[in-house]
Amino acid sequence: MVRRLAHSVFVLLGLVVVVFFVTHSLGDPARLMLRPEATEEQVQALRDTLGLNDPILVQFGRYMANLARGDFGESIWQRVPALPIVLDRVPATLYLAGVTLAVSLPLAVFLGVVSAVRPRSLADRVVTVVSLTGVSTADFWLGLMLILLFAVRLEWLPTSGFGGLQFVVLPAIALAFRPMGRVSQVVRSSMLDEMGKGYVTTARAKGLGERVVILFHTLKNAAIPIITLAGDEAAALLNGAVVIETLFGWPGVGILLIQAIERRDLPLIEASVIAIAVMIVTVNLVVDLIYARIDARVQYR
Amino acid sequence: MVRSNDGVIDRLIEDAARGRLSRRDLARRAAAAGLAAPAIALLLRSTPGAAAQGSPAAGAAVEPTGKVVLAMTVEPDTLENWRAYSTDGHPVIRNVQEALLNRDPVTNELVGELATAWEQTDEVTWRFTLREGVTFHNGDPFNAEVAAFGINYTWSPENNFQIYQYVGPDMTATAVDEYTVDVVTEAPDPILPSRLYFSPIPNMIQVQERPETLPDQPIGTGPYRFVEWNRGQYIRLAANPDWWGNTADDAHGAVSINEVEYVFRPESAVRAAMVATGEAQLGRFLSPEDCQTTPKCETASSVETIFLRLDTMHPAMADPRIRQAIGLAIDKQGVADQLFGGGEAASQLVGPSATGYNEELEPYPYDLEQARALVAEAAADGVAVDAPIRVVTRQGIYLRNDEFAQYVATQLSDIGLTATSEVIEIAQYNEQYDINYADVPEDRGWIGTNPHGNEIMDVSSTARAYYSCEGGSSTYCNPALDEALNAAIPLTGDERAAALAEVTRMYYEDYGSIPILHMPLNYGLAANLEWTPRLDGFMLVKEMSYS
Repeated sequence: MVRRLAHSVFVLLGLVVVVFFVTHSLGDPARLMLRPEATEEQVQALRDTLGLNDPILVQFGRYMANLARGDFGESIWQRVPALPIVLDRVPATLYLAGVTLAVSLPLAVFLGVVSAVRPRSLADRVVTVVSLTGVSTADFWLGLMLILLFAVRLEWLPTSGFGGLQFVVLPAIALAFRPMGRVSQVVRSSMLDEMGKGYVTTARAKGLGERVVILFHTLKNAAIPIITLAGDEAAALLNGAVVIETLFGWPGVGILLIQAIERRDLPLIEASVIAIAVMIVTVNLVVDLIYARIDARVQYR
Repeated sequence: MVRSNDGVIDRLIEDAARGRLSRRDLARRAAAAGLAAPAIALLLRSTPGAAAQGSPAAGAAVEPTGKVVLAMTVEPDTLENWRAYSTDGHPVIRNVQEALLNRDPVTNELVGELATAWEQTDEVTWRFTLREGVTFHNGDPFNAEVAAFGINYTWSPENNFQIYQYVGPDMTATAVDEYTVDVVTEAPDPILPSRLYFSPIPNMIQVQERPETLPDQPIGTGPYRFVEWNRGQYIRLAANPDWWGNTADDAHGAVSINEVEYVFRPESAVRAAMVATGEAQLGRFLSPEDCQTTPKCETASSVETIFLRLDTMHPAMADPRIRQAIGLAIDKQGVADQLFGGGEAASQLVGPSATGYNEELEPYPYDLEQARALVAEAAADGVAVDAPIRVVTRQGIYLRNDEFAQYVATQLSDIGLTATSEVIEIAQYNEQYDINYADVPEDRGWIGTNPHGNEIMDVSSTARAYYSCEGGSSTYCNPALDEALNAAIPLTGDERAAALAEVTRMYYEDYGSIPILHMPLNYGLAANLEWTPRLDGFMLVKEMSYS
């Protein structure tokens, strides 16, 4: 466990190093930070103030020391410390990702199991069509259609914006289709693999009911690839819901990162990337812990 | 004709005096009766009973109620007036802060705002008499010292804000007494009042003592005070109970709505959906199709012109034949109809509202055959027609800009040039766009697809920025044109209009850039929101009301 945690910290440290050197290779940060009308003297003055004339390793040392205090510097765009701006957006991102996964994963497992229990049946074919449609549908288009149907036509839900449960429903459904489609396909194939194995036959021979065999024997053993993929999908949601955030006016980290990139706001880019990385590393850690929980053969020493 | 109109106008005056007609309706009907703009302005002034813009009569203190939600395209970066003057922040800041002058929403004539009178006292001096009894939202008084400071700071050559390129000769404002300001220009500047309408007056003490609060906590004298900016979600304003306009009869609007909320939805369909469902009462810049889904779609002319800005130092585009060929290769009216759902093909970078608009010029014709022949002729003379050209557009700057850039690149490839299109992110685009002719690398080969807005409504500001060798956004240089422009700038009246129209002609005949269309702007409104879009694109809530 300690080793697994150390591994996560190591990944984060590596990322911090990469972020520092990549962002500092984009051009002169002082020039980027100032408005286009700034004079050369102003640029030089800012370079001195920021210590950009120091050797790169000295700068890196200072950067790491600041980072240890949670200090990413001030956002060039908003002129306030970068980290609180990002932290303000994290709950919205987690909220949307959480609801999306809460909708899509149980549905995906259900559809996958239904499909695997009776392969090549009508139900299987319907589930396959639904899941492939989910994977192939552009979330942007789907989001617009959901707005037109549920907000404009039926007037059940608000078109967009951030707030209580009624605001999260449409963006979460728009985002849920893809993980639902992908995960249900993996559930199906993983279940089919397991159902051909001897222990399933043994369980049935012992007289266990079909429901028990599927839920407590087969599904449990089929869970590793399902959880792996679910982790990937969670990471994708934390990282890349930009299109849906933009469409629905959802104040998440994804859209903030894009805005920071558009404005070359280096401190905000760094803070956003690290925040997203922390969330993803945490998800991966949780996934690994779940592995160990459901499969005794997986151990972290 | 005149006699029959007399009766109509008499009836209009009577209706207006009894409050049955809004100022806007009065002006419209007067125009329909054949009255010229100055006469309409006179009529409006002489009919104080006319309700301002369909809202409660100016001067009548009515308790503001309700809320208006405005669905905008992009969240502003900042609300500093010298940066937000023509960008996404302007619809917010111009309700919070006021300028010395404004324009009448109907006649477009300059009218007083924080100034009540202005006159040119000598060739280089303009004197403004300020409104008395005006205070900022935090209680600070507005007076000549504050106005002079605001003008000097905003248009200062040392600060060199982007807005500075629209100034004519440098100006210095000084307080003469508590409510009189003199603005002295280095050279005669007859359109100085138009420039001062362009940007509002900030709070002097805030600028001096708390500059860090300027971007997101603006303090002004306007009808609405700033309340809250929750970045990523909304900006909120509230009615200013102490606004001078509540008791004045020349406020050109009235505060009848209590709360204002700006929300930001980059997708036109979502802004339209918000209006259709009642979540917002006004959706800005909708596509023509989306606009039709709202209860009330208002399409308005604007001062925005889409044009192709050519890097005229590029090996191919330095040749006027190639520039002409580019002009011939674009179906301007087709672009207007098919891509933008309307608008008029343009012959110049400004519309007819601007002084110096040249009425004799026609949009360049659409003639692919001739365009191909010109490119072939230039190639035969050894011009590097295969030098790469990049048709560039800034991410999200207007609807369908990426499709427009693709269309232009395709057309140029069709006539024998080597062109590709690119969508570039905002910071990179601006860095590359706002540079002068002398700083553009020869082989860059950009064709910029920005719109240009001439809110000042005078060709000189457009020419200084885009036609002149010194222009901050100019990729064209013709010393003869600069000479003609410099000679035109101090002129006034018809002489000025004629001299600037000549500058426009010179630029046109040399294919300095390729005007495409005067952009129509679509706004979707709630059924009960009374508002008519202005030519200059200002969105003033004091001109809105509920029926």
